[in-house]
Amino acid sequence: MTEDKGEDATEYMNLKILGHDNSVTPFKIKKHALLIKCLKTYFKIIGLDRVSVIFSFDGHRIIKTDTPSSLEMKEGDVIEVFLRQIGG
Amino acid sequence: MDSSNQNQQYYLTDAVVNDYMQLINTHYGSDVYVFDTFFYLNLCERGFDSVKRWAKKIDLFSKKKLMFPINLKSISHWVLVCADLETKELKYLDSLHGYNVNVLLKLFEYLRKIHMDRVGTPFCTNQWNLKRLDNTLVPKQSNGYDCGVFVCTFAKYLARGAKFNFAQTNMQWFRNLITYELHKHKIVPVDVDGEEIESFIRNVLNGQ
Repeated sequence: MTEDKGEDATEYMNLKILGHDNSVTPFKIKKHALLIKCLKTYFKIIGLDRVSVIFSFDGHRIIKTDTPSSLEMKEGDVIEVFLRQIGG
Repeated sequence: MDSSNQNQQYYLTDAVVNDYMQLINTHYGSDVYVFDTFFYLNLCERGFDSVKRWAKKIDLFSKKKLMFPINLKSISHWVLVCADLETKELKYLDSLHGYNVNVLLKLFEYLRKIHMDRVGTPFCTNQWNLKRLDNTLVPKQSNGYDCGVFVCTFAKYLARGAKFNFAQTNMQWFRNLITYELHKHKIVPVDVDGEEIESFIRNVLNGQ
């Protein structure tokens, strides 16, 4: 899930995705890269439908404009995956 | 397909509930904070540490009320818990008039720990009252699909400290009102009672 455009290595950070089944998927991303791109790759890997889950960082739902930098993420931070909730 | 499946089209998803709660936070943010619907799930499944940083920019204990919309997955049901920091009551609001003290205990433990974490002093637990509300005070749902509408409406009324003046017969109108409020990004308080609710909401929807 990494992209190399020759920028300073310190621009990268390591994050983790914690699946709804508690599986952990580490990934590397540039601080100013869009998180949604990595998350799309994650969908493909685990074969989940995009509409059936949401991604959350400390309770913030990740939207398409979010980057690690905009969310003030730190090395090793965890993005959580939740299955959609419904009720009547 | 049985009737319960047909009714599922009227169920509210986390997306609608959370968008609505966000709207309440925007409008009544100085007095209340409503947590995300995934907060309770995470608290239960992954423990306090996993939610310690949730709402980290919110000064939780400066609010009058903290609210927790909860999805009970096993029965596909929405309920609301309200922590009233002024009266020191933790209330369980269920439109089906159910009660689960374990939910209250879990959230009470969270309040105790997060108070220590954020404020740095112990939470005065002995003055608190974990409360099953008198059923006559909680409007009751009589169908199998309106609980999400009830939970959103409970939160809206509690946010401004209003008494519940609605009943099942009004819920289709409150459902329409929620759609309108989300579309217009504003909360419309309903100040009329009983039979006037329908005409009040109809006028709002018609832009009058």
